[in-house]
Amino acid sequence: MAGLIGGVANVVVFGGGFRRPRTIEGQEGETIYDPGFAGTMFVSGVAGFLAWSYSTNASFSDQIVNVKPIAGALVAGVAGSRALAVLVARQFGAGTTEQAEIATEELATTLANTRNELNTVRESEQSLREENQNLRDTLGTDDNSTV
Amino acid sequence: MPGVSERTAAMDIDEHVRLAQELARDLRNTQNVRRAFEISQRLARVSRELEEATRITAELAKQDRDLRTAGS
Repeated sequence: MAGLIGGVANVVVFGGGFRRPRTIEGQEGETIYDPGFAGTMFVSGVAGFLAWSYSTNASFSDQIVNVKPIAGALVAGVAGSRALAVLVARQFGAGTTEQAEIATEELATTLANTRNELNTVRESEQSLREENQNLRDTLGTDDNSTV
Repeated sequence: MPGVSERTAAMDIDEHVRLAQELARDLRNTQNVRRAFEISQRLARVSRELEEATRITAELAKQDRDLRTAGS
């Protein structure tokens, strides 16, 4: 109920008024049914219900009137689809912690690859130094290397 | 009404559990950020070393070519 009330606010604040349900034609000529404000209120109702159920030990037999979950459902109702997206991401999506872990692992892999590359370049450097020294010995030139 | 106080206690426990989960998540985030910072510092150092080693190798390769030209 709080979600639906929030949905009314959502329609007024973000929807710019109560838009009637209508049928529109899509880009490829298909018919699209736009539920208008009813759709917005339905989404707000679902978001409000989910917010309420996650914020309390939801039980329809619970007789305690707790303001916080109701306020949460109201806010979720006002936010509508945005709140629904957040709730779904929280339940099923990768959270920031997981994303940070993935990013850190990628950084660690990059570090390992860079170290391998550094080792390869150092091996080449050593090999070139030895080869240059051999060539100098053969040619009898002094070592005027700057590196 | 024994159920009321039990439900209130259950809600308090739920709240504490939720806070504990949030704290655990924050801690993991902090650890991740610290690890990422340390790795990025190491990466910056290794990248500088790689850049220097690449420069030296290119210089040595040039000397190698010059010496071979002089010897031929």
